[in-house]
Amino acid sequence: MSVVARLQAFFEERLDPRPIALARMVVALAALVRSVESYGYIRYVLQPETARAPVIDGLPLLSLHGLPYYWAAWALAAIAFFIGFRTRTAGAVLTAALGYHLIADQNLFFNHIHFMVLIVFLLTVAGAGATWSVDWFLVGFPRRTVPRWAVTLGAAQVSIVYFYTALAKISPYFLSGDVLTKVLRGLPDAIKTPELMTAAAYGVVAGEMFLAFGLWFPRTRVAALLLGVAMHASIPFAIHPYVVLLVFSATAIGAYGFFLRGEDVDWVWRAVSSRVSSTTDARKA
Amino acid sequence: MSRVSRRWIFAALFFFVYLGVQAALPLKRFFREDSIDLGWTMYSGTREIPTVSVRLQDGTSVPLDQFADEQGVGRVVGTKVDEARWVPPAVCPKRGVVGIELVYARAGRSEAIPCP
Repeated sequence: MSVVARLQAFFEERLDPRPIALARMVVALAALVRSVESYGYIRYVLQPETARAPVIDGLPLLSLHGLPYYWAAWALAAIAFFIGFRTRTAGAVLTAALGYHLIADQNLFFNHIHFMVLIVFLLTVAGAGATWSVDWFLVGFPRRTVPRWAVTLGAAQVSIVYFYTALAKISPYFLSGDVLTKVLRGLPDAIKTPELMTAAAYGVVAGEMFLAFGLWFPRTRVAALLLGVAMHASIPFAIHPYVVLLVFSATAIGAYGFFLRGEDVDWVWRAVSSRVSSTTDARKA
Repeated sequence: MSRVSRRWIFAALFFFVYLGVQAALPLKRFFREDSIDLGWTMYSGTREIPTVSVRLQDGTSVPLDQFADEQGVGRVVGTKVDEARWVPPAVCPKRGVVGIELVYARAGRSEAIPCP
């Protein structure tokens, strides 16, 4: 098989859409929560005493009068993306709303919104409304597929983030444990010894580097998924349960849908069904 | 070449361009220091946020937050703001302001920026 034929096969292969449909719902919920948080935050930034810091010179900054309309477009798009109603349009509007948040002013730039906008965009490109959506319901529940290349692109994006965030932490300052000592405000001071924090810093770098690559290989995939979920679920509690950290964790865990396959969804479904039926049987007995 | 068979080429183009851009953008921070580095540097301590104070004509300095509360200008909310670039245009029009000072405690350096 020639290289071109292999490339063509890769770009024409189709996959079960259920994992990215799940990702769509989780990320849309996170975007909806973020919209509520952002409303108050942007309102604060728009006060006259805040120093204007445009990311792109000449880009008009939202006015206080326009904020409710911007928020409504964002929130409605997030809801439509969640339920899968006109999913591509909803995804495009959500991408635009989140994108504007990033480039309107440096006061509004956040890494988790940068991550979220890319994931929403890639879910939209991949056709995450192909199943488990209103769009799918309206056409009579057809069996649909999504392009493998688009799902792979989403997975690659997640790995790029893990790789570079691990790379950025390979510095004497981070590896000394000082950064973790300061940011892990949710942990008691008694356990934040210099030795433990240094070890934890090395552990964080190793863990993120493992996630960057481990999610791709069958032998390490389950371990990487479990580590990733555990890490993201614990971050808001180890630092502080800020809404923004909860939103970031939900987006990251949701994005794992790019690494899942239809068989994984079936496996989870079977495991849950058997547990439910065994519980029901035990009650009857 | 039919439309169906050409479709994968557009997909391949989009795939490799997107991947190339996303893989290359984070490298920007190694070549150019910027408050928004796109390098996924969250919680790495890569960028030290300076303590900013406003220098007044009488030789005294006021912390930026206090100045913003009192004068109603110059408040910085986000952590990705380039203070050296955007605080002077906000505070310098106020009477008696001669510049700002940024102190990077960890790096052990400071930077004085006079008003134009």
